[in-house]
Amino acid sequence: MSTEKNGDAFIEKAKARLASGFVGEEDLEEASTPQKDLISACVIGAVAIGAMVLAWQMPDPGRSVFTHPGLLPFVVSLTMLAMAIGLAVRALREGGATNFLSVFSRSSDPEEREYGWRSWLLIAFVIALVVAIDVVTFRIRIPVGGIELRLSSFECVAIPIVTVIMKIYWGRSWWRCFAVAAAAALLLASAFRYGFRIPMPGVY
Amino acid sequence: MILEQLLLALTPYLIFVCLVGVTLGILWGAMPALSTTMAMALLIGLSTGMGQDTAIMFMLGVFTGSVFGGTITAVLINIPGTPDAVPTMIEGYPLARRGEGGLALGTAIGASFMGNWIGILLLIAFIPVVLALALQFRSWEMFLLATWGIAICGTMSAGKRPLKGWISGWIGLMVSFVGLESIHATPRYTFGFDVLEDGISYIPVLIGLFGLSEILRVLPRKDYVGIPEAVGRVVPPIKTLWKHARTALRSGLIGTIIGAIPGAGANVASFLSYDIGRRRASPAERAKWGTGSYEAIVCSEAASNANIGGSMLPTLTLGIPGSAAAAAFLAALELKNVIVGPTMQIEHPGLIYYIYWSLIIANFLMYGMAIVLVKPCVKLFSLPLALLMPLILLICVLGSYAVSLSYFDVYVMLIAGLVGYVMRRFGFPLAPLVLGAILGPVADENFRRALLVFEGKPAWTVFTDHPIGTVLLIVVLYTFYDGIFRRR
Repeated sequence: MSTEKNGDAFIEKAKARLASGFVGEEDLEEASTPQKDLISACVIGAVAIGAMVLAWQMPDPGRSVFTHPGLLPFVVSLTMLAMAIGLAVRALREGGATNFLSVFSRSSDPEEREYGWRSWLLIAFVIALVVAIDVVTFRIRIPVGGIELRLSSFECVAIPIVTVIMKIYWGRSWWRCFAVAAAAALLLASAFRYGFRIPMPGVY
Repeated sequence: MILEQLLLALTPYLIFVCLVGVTLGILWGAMPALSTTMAMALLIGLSTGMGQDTAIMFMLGVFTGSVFGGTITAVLINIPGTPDAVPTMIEGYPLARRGEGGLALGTAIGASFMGNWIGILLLIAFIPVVLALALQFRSWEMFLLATWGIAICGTMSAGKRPLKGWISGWIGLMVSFVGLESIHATPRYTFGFDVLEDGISYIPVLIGLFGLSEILRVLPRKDYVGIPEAVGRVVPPIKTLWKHARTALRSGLIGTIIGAIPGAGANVASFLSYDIGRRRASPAERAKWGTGSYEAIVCSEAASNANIGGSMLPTLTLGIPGSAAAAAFLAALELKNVIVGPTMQIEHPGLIYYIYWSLIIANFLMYGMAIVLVKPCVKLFSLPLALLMPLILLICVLGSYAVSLSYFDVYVMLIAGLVGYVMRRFGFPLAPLVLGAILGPVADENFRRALLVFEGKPAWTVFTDHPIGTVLLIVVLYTFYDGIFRRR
């Protein structure tokens, strides 16, 4: 598709969105399907019931039920359960029960499938980054001409993981990805450490 | 005191900080898929290392700059940098194709400047009134106000499915309940983990929801790189602006009012103002709408920028953020131990004037920097998101850690980001969740305090002794009624 045609499609889509009446601040209408709503309602309902039970079981050190620590959590969970039921009823009316499991099935669209595995991979990398920065803890001090340069585990963990993320999603050469990741991690760490006097995570 | 604060705000260092904030904001907003809220959320971490005055100036500079920044891409490459720039895109891009991109951007800059002024002036005019009213609020009223804030935020964020907005807000309330409760210090939902007894700070939640979840949403996509149209000379055309001054005033008013409603931000303001503008335009002008109308650009830009001043009104007077970006500003203030709300003038005398001056300075700088930065911004469009997003990921980690130097907050950010990503994919808005997490403690404490006050009294005294509370109760009930029955 040419850029011009793509641009026209953008404008037509935006005009249709404007013509559809009130759109919310976050405009997530496209993301909603009855099947997804039904699944959400089940999960939220289960969480609400669990929260209600825990609120009910909370100890009450006060003399009045009005100061019970679980009072508002109970009321909030109860109303959340009512909202979940409302969402489920609406989803069922819109046909959410038919083809219910389609939400979990693999998409037939190859682009959608590719987006799916790229998303899962990214989530795995993000979790790996966060856990690794927490687990790996060390700090190296290098005196250079009277100035003490510090290198912590943050840079050592962030640089390789960000390099791999860039290689996969940006698609440039390993060296280019490494150079950008290293420059960014060192610059950010220096800004926090020396500019804002905030110690790096992973240093004890 | 007003002059003292002006002199403080005019300190060269603070003006420089504001300039940096505005520049960062414009560049950030100009990048497609990087929103104002994301910018504000990520920069909270950086603001921890700044003094109070510096942090306020910096955050307001970023806020003002990033709301405008989205316009540049909308006009030149037909991709709105921020969602509120969609109406500007519809009108500006056809103009850019006809070689009038510079004039369209100039009109947008001028309209943004005027919109900001309207928002700021209305903020200055209404703050004393709202503060005086807010001082009458007792526990019952504060509880109802917090409930209304979350409910209306849910309605305004979710559009046609307010139920999902409310659920999101209620999840935020549940998050705020974690930790030791304020009256008896009884642990709630801590599951025996000591680290949860301090509660969950809403700042890493905000960073996770608007930073990490956005990275997870955008990075796996294949980039669409637009080819910028020729810019031409960018000069805000005074004649065109004067011609549309009435439109700018009306749009500014709409933007400010919308901004004052929690959850309704620049997006709703620009769409609504665009729609009203089209209905009120002359037949000759209306014929141009959709194919390149300067009046339409004025409508959209004046409203989205006036929204900044409007969103500050409930944020500063009641402690209820007018938008998700305002929630980030509130978080930055909280980190500086600034308690906003009815007693702000008493606890922090003069600060409110400093915020006014900061907004005014940021507006002037936005006007200048917008003209200067339009052409360099065109080069930025060639930067792929796959290059930027991994770097933003590092800012998410460091930003959430810097808030209280606790790695637990980074895990909170991670979980919030993953939850936010799933919620978005299932069509749940995120702003109500943040609002719920912010207003949860206010609602909880005031609800139980109000019940103790009412204990032993006849039920009708709830209505007769608290007329403001009764009005608020009707407003809360109407908000739910409207969402359930009228938006079907």
